[in-house]
Amino acid sequence: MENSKLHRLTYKSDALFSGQLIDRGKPVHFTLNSRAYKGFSGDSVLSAILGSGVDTIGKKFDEEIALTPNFCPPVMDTSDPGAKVEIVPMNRMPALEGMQLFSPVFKGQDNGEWKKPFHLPFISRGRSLKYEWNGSEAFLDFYAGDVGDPVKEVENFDLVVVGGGVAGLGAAKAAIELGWRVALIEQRAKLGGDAVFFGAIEGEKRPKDFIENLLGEMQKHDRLRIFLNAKAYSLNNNNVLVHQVSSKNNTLATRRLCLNAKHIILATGLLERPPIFCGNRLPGVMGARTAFDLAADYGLWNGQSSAFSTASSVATQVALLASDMGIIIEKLVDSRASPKSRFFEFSKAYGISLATGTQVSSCQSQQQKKLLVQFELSSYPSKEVGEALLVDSLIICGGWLPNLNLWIASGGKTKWNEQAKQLQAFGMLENIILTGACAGAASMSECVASGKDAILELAGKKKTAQSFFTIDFEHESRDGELPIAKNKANMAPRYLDMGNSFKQPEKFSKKTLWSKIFSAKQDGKKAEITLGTGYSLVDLTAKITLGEIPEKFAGFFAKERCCVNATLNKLEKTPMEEKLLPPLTTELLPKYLHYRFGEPAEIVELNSEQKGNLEIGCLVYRDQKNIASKYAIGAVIALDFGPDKKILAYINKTKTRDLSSIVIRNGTYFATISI
Amino acid sequence: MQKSDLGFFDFGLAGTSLQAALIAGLLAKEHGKKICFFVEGTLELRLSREINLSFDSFCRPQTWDLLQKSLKETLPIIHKIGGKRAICRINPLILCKSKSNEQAMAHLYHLLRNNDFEIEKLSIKKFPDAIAAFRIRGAHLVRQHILWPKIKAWLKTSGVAVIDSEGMQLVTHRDGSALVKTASGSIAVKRMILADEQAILNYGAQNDVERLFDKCLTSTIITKPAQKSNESLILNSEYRFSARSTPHGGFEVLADVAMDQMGILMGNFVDKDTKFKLLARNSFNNLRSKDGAAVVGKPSVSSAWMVGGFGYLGLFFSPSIARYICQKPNAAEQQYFVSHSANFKRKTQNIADFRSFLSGQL
Repeated sequence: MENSKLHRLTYKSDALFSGQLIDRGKPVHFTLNSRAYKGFSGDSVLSAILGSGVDTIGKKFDEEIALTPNFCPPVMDTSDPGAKVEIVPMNRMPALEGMQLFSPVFKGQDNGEWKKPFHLPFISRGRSLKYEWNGSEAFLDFYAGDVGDPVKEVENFDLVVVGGGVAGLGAAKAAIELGWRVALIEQRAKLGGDAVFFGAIEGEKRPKDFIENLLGEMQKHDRLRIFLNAKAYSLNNNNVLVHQVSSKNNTLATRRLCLNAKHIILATGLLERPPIFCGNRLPGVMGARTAFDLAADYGLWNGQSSAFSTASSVATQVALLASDMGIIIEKLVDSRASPKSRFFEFSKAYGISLATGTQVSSCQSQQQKKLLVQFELSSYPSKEVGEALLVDSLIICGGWLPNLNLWIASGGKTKWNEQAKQLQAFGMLENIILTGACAGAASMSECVASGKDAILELAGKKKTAQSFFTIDFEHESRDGELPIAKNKANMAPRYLDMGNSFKQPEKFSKKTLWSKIFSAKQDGKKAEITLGTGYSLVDLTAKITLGEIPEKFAGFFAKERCCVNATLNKLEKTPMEEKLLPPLTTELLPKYLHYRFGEPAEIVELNSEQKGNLEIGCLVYRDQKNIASKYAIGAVIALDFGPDKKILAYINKTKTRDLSSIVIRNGTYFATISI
Repeated sequence: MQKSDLGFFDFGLAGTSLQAALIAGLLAKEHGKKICFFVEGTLELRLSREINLSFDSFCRPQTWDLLQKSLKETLPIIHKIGGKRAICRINPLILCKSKSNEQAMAHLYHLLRNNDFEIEKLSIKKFPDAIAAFRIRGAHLVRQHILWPKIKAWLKTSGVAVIDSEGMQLVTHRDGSALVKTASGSIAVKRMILADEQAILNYGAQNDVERLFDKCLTSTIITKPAQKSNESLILNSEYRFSARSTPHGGFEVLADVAMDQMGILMGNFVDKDTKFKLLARNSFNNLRSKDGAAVVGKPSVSSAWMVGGFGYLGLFFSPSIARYICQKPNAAEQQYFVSHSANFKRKTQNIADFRSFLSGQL
C-alpha cells in the first residue's frame, strides 16, 4: 500500500498466518471520518484499517502512538439515519459494506482535549488517524457499558463460562456431561483462545485437533449456548453482563444481555506485558500475541523486515511463522541469559540472527516509517550492544500475567507471588472459580483438566485424578523477568502497558519517589492525581517490579484501583433499589429535639395568623433581645397541623410562665405570638 | 502488667483515621504521655475511608458550641503539621431526598443561622431530584492525602511509636490495661483507646459494639473525569453521601451503601445523565452510632475506650478528646463528653441526633 508498511500477507492455504477469518473474495468498502477504506468480509473495522496501511492512532504530547487492538477508538455507523446508533470499539465492530463510520471525540482530563481528526480532502490518507491528546490518561477506554439502555435481556443458566479457550471448553464439556445448561462467552470470533499461539507441548495433540476434540459433540448439544464476539464487561453476584456484536445480512446487530447463573467459571487466560523501553508504543511496535492474532485472523503483518525482543519462548514461534511467510527477521533477542526452547533451536536452523541476555534499549521512528532499534545487555542496562537495527516492525514480549480483571471485580483476592513476579488469585469466592491459564495452568491438557476440576468442585463432587502434560522446564525455560530499559532523554516515553492507561515509570529513584509522593514538600495536588488515577493489572505488575509500589500493597491496590471496564451500572428495577427508598413518614417530634430545650417541654398549639412567614425549625424565644440559638426556648415543629392548620411548637413551658407572648425568629423576621 | 516485648505505654491507640492519629499525637506532645499508635501499614495507598469537614448533620446545639471552640484550637495545629494546603475552605451543597432529612436540615438551618453560621437555603428548581437544598459557606475541608503523610511524620517526631496493626489482637484486663499482640511483638498499655469506628469494629467487645452501634456497609469510589461539576462538594445526610470534585476532574465519593447502589446515588445527587466510570473503588464494614450521637469513653471498667460517632467533625474535636482522655477537660468538654459517655449511664434521650437512613443495613 502507498505510504504504508502494514499489508496483507500472501495467502497460503496451509499457513497459519493465512487470515482465517476473512474472505479475500468479498471486498468491503466503508468510510471512517469521511475517509474511504477497504477491507474484506470477516474483517473488523480495525483490521480493515490496519490492512489499509493505517498503523497510527495519532499523537500524545507530540509523540506518535500505535493503533492496535489494545488501543483503538470507538466508532459508530451513521449510514442508516433511521437506525439506532451504537458505539462499538473499532476492534469489535465488523467491517460491513457501505458503513459510514464516525469516531466520537471525548474530552480529556487535565484540560487536555481530544482534537477531532482533520483531513484535507483529496490528500493521501497517510498512516495516521490523526487524533491528538495531551491528557495524562486516554479516553478511548470505551466499552459496552458506556452508552445505551440498561440491560433488559436476561437469560438463565446453570453455568456461565467466561472464556472460550481450552480451559473454558473443558469446563463447559464437563458441565454438559453433568446435565447443566451452559453459556460459553468468547470475545473473539472463534473458540480456542490462545491455544494455537502458545502451542502444544511434547506429547500433546496439535492445538487445532485439541480444540476440535473438545468441541466435538458438545457444540450440537441444546444445553450449550455459545456467544461469540461477546465481551463480559461486568460481573455482579450471579449475573454476567455481556455485550455482543454481530452482523447479519450486512447489518450490524448488538446485544447487551445479562446471563444469570448459579455458577460462574472465569477462564480468562493471560495478559501480555510489554518490555519497558523508550518508544515501546510507537507505530510499528507490537506485542507478540497481537502480531500473531492479526496475522492468523486477518493475514496482516507490519512491513517486510522485523526484529523480535522477547522474555518468553512463545514469541520465538511467531518469528518462525513470520519467516515462513517471507518476512525478513533481522534479529531476535531474548532477555534471558541462556534460554532453552525448541523454538530457539528452530530459529538457529532458520538462520535467524539470535542474541541472548539482550533486550531493547530504545526504539525511535525514522524516515520512511522505519524503526531504529538499539539493544543493550539485560544484566547491564544502558550498556548498548551491537549496531542499531533499522526495521519495519519490532515485535515484543515481556511475559505474561493472569487476566484477573473479572475475578477482582467480583471481590476476589489477589497477592503478589515474588517467585513468579506476578499477581495471583488466592482464596475463594462463592460459586465463582478461576480456571485455566489465569489460575496457573501451563499446558493445554492442564488447562482442560483444571476446567473439569472446577466443575467437579462447583458440583460438590470429589475430584478424580487426571493426567495432563506438563512443561519440562529442563528443556523449555520459564519466562524471564520483565525487561526494563532506562529512560533516555529526547526519546518517546516508556509505557508500562499498551492499553488505555498510559502509565509510565516514575522518573526518580525508589527512595526519592516515596519522598516525592509523601514528603512534606510534595505538592498536594500532584499527590491527589497520582493517587487518584486508575491502573491496569499490567501497570500494577510493572510498578511492583520497578519497586514503585511495595509488594504488600499489591492485593489491596488491585482490589481498589484495577477497575478496568467498571462503571456504576445497574440492572433495571433490582430489589436493591427498593432498599434505598427512605421512609415516607416523619416523626412530629424527632429524637434530636428531645430534651433540647430542657424539661419540662411540651408541644403547644399556636395562633397561626403569621405562619406564612415561618418555617419548620424556626426557633422560639422569650423576646427579641437575646436571639442567639442558646437562648431559644423552643422550636416550630409543624405549620399546618390538624384540620385547623395550626402551628405546633415544642417549648419549655417553665420559661413562658411569666409571658403573654413569645417571639419566633425566621432570620431577620420576628413573629410575636400570644400564648 | 504483663510481659511486653516492645515496652510499656501509657496509652495504646488503634485507628485508621486522621482523628485517631491526631489524638495520639496530642496525647504525646501536649500531655507528655507515652503513646503507641496501631495503624494499617497500607493506609497511604488505600482509598480514603473518611471525610474531615467542619460541617455535619448534628442537630444538637452543644455539638456546635463545642465545635466552634475546638476549631479555633485545631485549625492552627493542622496548619502547623500539614502546611497551608492541608485545609481548604469550601462551600458544600447539601441535598435532601427524604422528608426526615428535610426536617432535620430545617432545624439545623435555623440553629446555625441564628448563631451567624453561614448557611443558606437554596431553591430546589436547580435540583429536581431533591426536596430541599442548602449551602454552607466557608466550611473547612481537610485534604487527607496531604495531611496523612505529614501527620505520620509528626507522630514520629512527637515520640509516638507507630506500629503496623496487621494481625493485631487485643486482650483487655479488668484494671483497664491491655496487651496488644502484633506481628512486631506484644505491647502492654495502661489504657487502650479504640479511636475511631474501624478500630471499634475490629477490636471492640462485641456486646458493647452491638449496644452502641449499628453495622453498615460503606463504599468509596473515585470516578474518572466526567462532565465538569460546578460543585466542589455535595452532601446528603441520609446516606452519609459525600461527593468531592477531585483535581483530575472526577469525584471522590463516600456513602453508606453497597457498591452496586452507588450508581443510583450518583444519579440522584450528582448527575443523572452521566455514566460514571470508576478509577478506584472499595467497600468496607463500618459502624454508625445507634442514637446518631458521638460515643466517647469506656463502656465498662475493663473495656477499651471508644471514640466514635463524630461523623465528619471528629478530627476537629481531637484536642478536646485528648484532654478528656487525660482527665483535663474544661467544663464544657466535661459536660459534653460525660453526656455522650459509652457506658450504661448514657442518656440517649438527652443527646440523640439525626440518624442516617441506612444505619443498621447489615
